[in-house]
Amino acid sequence: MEAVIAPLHVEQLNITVTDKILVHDPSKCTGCCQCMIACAYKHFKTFDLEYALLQVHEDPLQPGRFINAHCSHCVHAMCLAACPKEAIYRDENGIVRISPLKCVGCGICSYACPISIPKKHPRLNIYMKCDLCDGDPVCVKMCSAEALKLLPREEAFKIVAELRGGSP
Amino acid sequence: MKRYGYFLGCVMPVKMPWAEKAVMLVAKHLGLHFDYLRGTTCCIRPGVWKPLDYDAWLTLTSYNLALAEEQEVVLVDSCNGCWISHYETLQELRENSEKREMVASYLKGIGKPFPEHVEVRHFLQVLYEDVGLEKIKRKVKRKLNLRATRHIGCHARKLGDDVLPRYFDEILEALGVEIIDTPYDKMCCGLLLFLADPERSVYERVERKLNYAYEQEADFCALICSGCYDQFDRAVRILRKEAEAKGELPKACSVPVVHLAELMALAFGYKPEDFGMQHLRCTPVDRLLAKLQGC
Amino acid sequence: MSERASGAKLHWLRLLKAAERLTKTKLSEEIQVHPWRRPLPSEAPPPAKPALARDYEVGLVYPVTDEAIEARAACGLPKIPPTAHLYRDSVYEKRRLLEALGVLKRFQFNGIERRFKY
Ligand code: SF4
Repeated sequence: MEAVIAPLHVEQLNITVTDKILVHDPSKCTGCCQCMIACAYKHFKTFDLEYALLQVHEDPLQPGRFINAHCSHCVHAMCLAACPKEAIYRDENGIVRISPLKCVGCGICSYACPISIPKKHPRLNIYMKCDLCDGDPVCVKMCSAEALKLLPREEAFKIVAELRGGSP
Repeated sequence: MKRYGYFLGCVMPVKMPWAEKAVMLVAKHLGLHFDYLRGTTCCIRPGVWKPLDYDAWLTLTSYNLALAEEQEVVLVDSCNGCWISHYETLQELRENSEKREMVASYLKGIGKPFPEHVEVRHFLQVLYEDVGLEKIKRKVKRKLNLRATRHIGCHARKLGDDVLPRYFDEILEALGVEIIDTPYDKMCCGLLLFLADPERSVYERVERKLNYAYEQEADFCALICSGCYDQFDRAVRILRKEAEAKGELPKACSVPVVHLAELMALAFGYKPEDFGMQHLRCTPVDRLLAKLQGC
Repeated sequence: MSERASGAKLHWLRLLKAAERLTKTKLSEEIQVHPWRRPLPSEAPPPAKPALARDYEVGLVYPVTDEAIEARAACGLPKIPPTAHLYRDSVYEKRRLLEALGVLKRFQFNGIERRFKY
């Protein structure tokens, strides 16, 4: 499938990051979990939500509103910095990936990530995380409510700042 | 004048025949050139097939579009799932030449035309844009004067909250239904979630919606999507079965789930027997009808 | 550093390089590369199987049951809806499409016995 993301070079850090990231708008999300199901199927050929690499949770403070935890393929990736086995790397498109061959399942990445995105494989002793479907995320395609979007970083930051109530 | 071909889908003909009849009655009453789209297969359900096999989803959906092309009608869906399938496929076919060719070759293999000129409309679009709210208002013989919660469904939000959800609300209000806003209005019915996590889809989606409706003393819960009805129907049956074992009727099982077309038919002066409103219901509508007769 | 130690380090680096080469694949491919992650024989998720089988059998998700026929008659509708239930040709065409798309093979669905192999 044609990749819809492109690598973006960050001069100061001398790294390459993805130009687009996922953004979720809780005010639009309906909690249908289609994104999770599609994700689990795409990566593990199952509908089991345990395997989904992004999570939709109901807002505990506001019933009927849903929040989504997904990987942002950060510029300062904590998981990558914390991994003692160099199992986490940035590929040529800037997608932050975990190599299942090198991962020893210590789980430090999960602790290091501010929102604990890397999660343990339900059966194997390795950690797994979003790989942005190699550039064409299936979750975005599945979201009819258009709550999940793939946007350029700058735009995404603005939207997230707005969602948090701060000025863009 | 446009000729419409109504896409029945999977659920409506076997689980909600009253809605099917009501849609036909209402369309005729509004003077539309409205008939069935014949020979249709499953739409094909986007939630399952899109992740399973994107190309298969495109092709099998195009099959139904090809039927509309053959029968020279505007395809009308009242189920949001069917609509989104047709709508998105059409968009993809228009934008992506590779997929176009692929679909065309598969369709050619079975001797079907490529859906070149097909138009897809949601039943709400037909009612609101093609017929117009004014005409609907004129046709209303008696205001319903009922209170209801409503469930519009996820896929209907595709065009934004200002299109299909607004149409739905305005039509309901034109029929004299007082809409009760709930915190769970946006929440999904849990149809696809049922495949992954049945418990969550029954107890945290449908039950909560209907419980809230009960607490607010709503007469019914209005919807338009057959896919959502399928989930409501299944969940209510599960809840009832469980309750029977315990010996108490849960609140969720006393709020009937009603299709928009039924309400329109009632407001246009049809009797419930005209479209068999009482048959094959997951929740009996007797109380609702008694209240209607009373006013 | 002794010669042995630096040799070991070199060896380790070589191994690391090899692993890197191996793992710079896509997650979807990795699943197939490693023996312990071989995809299951059928790609059809179990909860969706009954509906997928009916897709092949009747072309739609639900068959028309006796109960439905009765209710349809009571609602003043024809007993069999004018979908693929009535127009059987559509079902055969859909089956041909499923066959051509290779879906049956992927899901290991046997069209004659009407069941999934796994
Ligand atoms: S698919 Fe979209 S609406 Fe549904 S749960 Fe995911 S983000 Fe929310």
